[in-house]
Amino acid sequence: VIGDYVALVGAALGGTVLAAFLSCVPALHIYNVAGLLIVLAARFEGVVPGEVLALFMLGLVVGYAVLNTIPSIFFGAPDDSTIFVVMPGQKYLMQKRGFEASVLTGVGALGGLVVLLLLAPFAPRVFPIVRAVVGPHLHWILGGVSLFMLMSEWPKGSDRGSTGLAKFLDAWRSLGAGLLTFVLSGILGFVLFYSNLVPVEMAFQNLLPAFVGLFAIPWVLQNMLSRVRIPRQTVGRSVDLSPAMVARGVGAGALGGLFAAFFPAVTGGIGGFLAGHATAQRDDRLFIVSQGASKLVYYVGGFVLFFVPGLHLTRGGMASMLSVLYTPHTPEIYWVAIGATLLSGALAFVLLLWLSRGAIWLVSRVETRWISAGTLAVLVGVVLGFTGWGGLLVAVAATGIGLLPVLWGSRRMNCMGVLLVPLTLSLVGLGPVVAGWLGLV
Amino acid sequence: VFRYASLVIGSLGLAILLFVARRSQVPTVEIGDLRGTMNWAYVRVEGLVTRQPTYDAESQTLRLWVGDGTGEIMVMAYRPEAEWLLSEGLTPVMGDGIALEGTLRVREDFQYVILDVPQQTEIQPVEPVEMAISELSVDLLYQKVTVRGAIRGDRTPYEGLRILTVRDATGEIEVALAAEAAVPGGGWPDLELGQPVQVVGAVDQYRGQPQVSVGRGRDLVVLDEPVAIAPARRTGALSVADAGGMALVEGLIVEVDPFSAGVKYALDDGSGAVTLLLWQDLLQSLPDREMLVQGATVRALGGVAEYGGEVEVVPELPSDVAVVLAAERIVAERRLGELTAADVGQMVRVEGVLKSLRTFSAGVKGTLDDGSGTVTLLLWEDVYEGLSDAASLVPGSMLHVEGEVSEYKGDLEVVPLVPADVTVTGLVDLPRQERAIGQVSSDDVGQTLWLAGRIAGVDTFSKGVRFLLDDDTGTIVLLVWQEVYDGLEDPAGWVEGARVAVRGEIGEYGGELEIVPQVPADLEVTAVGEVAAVTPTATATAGPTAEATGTAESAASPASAPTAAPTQGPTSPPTAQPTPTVETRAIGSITRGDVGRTLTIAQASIAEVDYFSRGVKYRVSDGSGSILLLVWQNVMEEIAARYDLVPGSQVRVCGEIEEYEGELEIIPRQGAEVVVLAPGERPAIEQRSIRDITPSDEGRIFTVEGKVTRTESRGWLRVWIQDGTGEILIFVPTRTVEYLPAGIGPGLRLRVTGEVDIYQGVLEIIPLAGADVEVP
Repeated sequence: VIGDYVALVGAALGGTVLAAFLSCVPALHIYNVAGLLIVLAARFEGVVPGEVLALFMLGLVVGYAVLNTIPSIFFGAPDDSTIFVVMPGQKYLMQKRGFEASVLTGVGALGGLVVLLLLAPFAPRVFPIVRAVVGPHLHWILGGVSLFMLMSEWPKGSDRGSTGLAKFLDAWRSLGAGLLTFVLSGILGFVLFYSNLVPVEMAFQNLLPAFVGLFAIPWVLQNMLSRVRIPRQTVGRSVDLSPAMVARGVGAGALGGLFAAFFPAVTGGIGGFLAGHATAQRDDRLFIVSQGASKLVYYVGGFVLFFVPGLHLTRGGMASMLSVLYTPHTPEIYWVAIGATLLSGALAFVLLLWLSRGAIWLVSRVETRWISAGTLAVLVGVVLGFTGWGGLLVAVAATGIGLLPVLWGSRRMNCMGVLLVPLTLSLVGLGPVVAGWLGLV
Repeated sequence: VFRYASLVIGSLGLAILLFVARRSQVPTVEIGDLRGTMNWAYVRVEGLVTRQPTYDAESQTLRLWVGDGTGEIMVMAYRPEAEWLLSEGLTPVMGDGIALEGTLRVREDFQYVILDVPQQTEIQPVEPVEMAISELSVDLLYQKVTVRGAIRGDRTPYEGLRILTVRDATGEIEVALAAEAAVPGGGWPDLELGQPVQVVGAVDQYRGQPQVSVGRGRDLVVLDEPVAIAPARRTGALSVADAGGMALVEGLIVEVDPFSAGVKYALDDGSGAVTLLLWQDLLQSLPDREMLVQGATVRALGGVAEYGGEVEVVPELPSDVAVVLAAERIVAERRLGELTAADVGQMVRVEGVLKSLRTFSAGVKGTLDDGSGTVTLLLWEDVYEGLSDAASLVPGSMLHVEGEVSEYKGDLEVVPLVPADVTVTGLVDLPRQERAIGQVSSDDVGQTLWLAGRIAGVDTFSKGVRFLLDDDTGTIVLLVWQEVYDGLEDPAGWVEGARVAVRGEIGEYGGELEIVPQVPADLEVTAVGEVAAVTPTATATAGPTAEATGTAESAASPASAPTAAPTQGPTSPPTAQPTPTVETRAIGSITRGDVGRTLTIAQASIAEVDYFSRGVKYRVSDGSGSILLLVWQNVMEEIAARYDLVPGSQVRVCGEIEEYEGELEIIPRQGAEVVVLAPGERPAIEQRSIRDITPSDEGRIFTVEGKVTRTESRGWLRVWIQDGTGEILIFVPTRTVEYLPAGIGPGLRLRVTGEVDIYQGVLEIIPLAGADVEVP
């Protein structure tokens, strides 16, 4: 029995180490790698026991949640959940303090782990009740989230136009781009939900081309076009962070992460955005810590919900992919997952410190645009390999939509309309109606 | 430039995507080919609906099951989609062809399709094939069929499933009706046993046996014309070879033979007689049972059975028996003194005063006296229980009786055939032969005497209660058999200290004298202990006196004045009205302060039943609250109506209030303290051959009789009995074992009544009490 536990924890730690290196590849999402693993596991079903596969994927998620901050800070942010890290993070990068920003997100992630540990004993009792209570209200909660995202945008014009109309258009340019992004993403979502543009055999990755197009490729392209030179970074021996600030940052981040983990179509970025508004964060350090916590709670917490006895909630891409091959059945595996999460989290934090130094070394010697070009090639290969030409077509269209916020200065989060719009409308029974308007059914 | 390029790429790319998506076909998949990596695919599934749809009103979710020959998959329609399907009347039923589109969800151990666009669902109803029931087999699985027959059974094994047993001339089949809430096109019509129906449904199977599953309300139609379900046969033509089949017979009742569990009629259509056997429960449910007398012409439908070499037709349902032509009854007016052995077999009309009344195993017997002579009045149990007011039949009752004259051990008897043959016309006071207890001696054995005294002791035994009666001149045992005790109006008043007056026959048992009352009316509480202490003399001799509203003559010489018109009911009441010792309370008013007190709950409804190691707990409520009714097994053994202690039954309970783990309980000490006022719904108790008991009978209550083949005991007792048609396990729980008859072992013949249960796939019968296991 002890041997079984060692194998399971070993699988989780192995996944963490693998994720640590993969996370450093800009714009490469761990779900893309996990998808490949699922295809292999399905092809050779039974070779790897379900529990081992589950714990390995848990390790991947933990490693990615902690370490994907490295490309976000040093190579650009490929994922919408890192969007809020980018601005303060890049500010730190330009102030030669990229390593400090990386450590701050790591501290937030450790705080997120503590929150998950504290919640673990209560999750089997509390979350099934919460799900039962919230279930019938999902449609208006998701509608409210969308509405808040759109309503909280503000005109960003310089108020220096020569005419009133010029000032108006200037102010509404980014706002309009945000709305347009949301609407186009929503239509893209309907196309994905009500048709099969990717091969049926690979349908479990049907959102992959859309997400790569909406989030990954635009940032890679932006990096390729960018002419910013990254200053030489310094590696400090300490960070300027009080325990109270850690507590506030972790608290806010965990709140957003939990919200995102529990509700479908709400990502860590949206959760962090809501939590940021709820807790009125101002300080950059606080912000970065909270995003570290939010990311971890969103990714890891969402996946751990799949293990919660009596709940087995499928939230996030990893749980969705794993569920086709394995479903946890015992409380024992839940507690093993909790333990493995803590160990993997600790390991990932240590790796974060090492690999951040490695990233500093890399960006000082290799042009970011070359790294980005290589990444673009990898992304196109992944999309084509998984989803074929249909998927590539989706990725191209999604890239056009994903470039809108990048180039017009609006929130990339609006791209999440790809899930929020069709899901919310389906929940209220309007999905088929809108799909009918679009001629999809 | 890049900005506007992004706009163009985004919009144009999306337009191209839409263009492509609108022209792409939704791929049709085979269920057997589904794999994990297809999770989230939007697919089309075509096949047959393999189960009836279920609709969960709470979550507003509709579930379908579709099979395409390569496999079966569940289809879920959530709230809006389910509502649309239901409102459009597009809910498919089992056996329908279907094509639908939805999002495929694949889990490790389960796959299902979420119906996203109900408008894309195509239902292809299949034309049913008309078939005889015997032609149905599991080979026709999912085939739509039409059958016609009569409803022979109707049960609900659990909420959400109703099963009809439908029979035609070729056989019998179970028809499963889907839960009412999920039935498209309205619910089921009102159904009654015996009704002819037409059923359109899909062939399904349960444990290897074919069933017809019906999903649409309109697919079950009550027919106007009867459906023949058995061939008409001449009574004399039925033979042992017909056993196991069914027959429709019509003939004249030439003989009536009541027995303990029912009545046997000899039915003859001129070709020879056959026995028509009506079990007691069926007989009592017949609306015109009073017309089932000699000379009546009866049409009966039933199973043909053989018992002791004799062929019997055994109807199952009240609708199986119809009196075609009532008997012309020739009844002779007689004075009792005129009756002779020559009258045996004749129907006579007599009048008289009932001088005594006593129960026996199959009914009650009394002595009827009209002044010219006496005769035994014999009322079989079904007749006695069918009396509109059996309680008014007491010694002193003036009766009009029509009955058949018979002879038993040299004595003439008048035997009414139906309850209507007995009419109570009045009541006279019979002179009391009162005696001081000290004066009763063994010379009085066999005499009927009145004794009065105080209860000095109470001892409950398995078949009744023994009281020790004391009047200061001596003591005597008052033996009250259980059936008499159960008939007492206020058994709670029969406690130590109460003063009572008793009429009964003096007997001797083990050298000890005892007085044995025969009917509940022979016992009366004249004053309870406490009150007696205050007014002891007022009640000791209380009883009907010359102040009775009946005339003095009639009291003194009832036989000579049967036509007098005494008032109904007992006459002068005791001069002191006893106050009840047991307080009647609403449940809500019972508190912890009442612990230790004995209280009565006048009427409460059983809500839950919970068996435990030493008895049964019932949760009873009366609107003001609820309380646990704890019935120890020894008490359960004494409750005659124990099978009526089911949810929905109304009961009166007297018992001591106790508290256990913070909850109040009322605990009766004797079976008589639990009275079923109105029984809840439960299956009728039926006698069955073991062969005829199937898993579908789970929950029904049957009586079986057979020889023990083997036993097994480990606290509980498992007994296997064999009746020639098959073997069945009787499971006796530990709590019941000590109350079983002694000597149960291989070879012993047992008659067992109990509930059919399935445990670990094995059919068994579980008796509720040791008394349900009898050695016949």
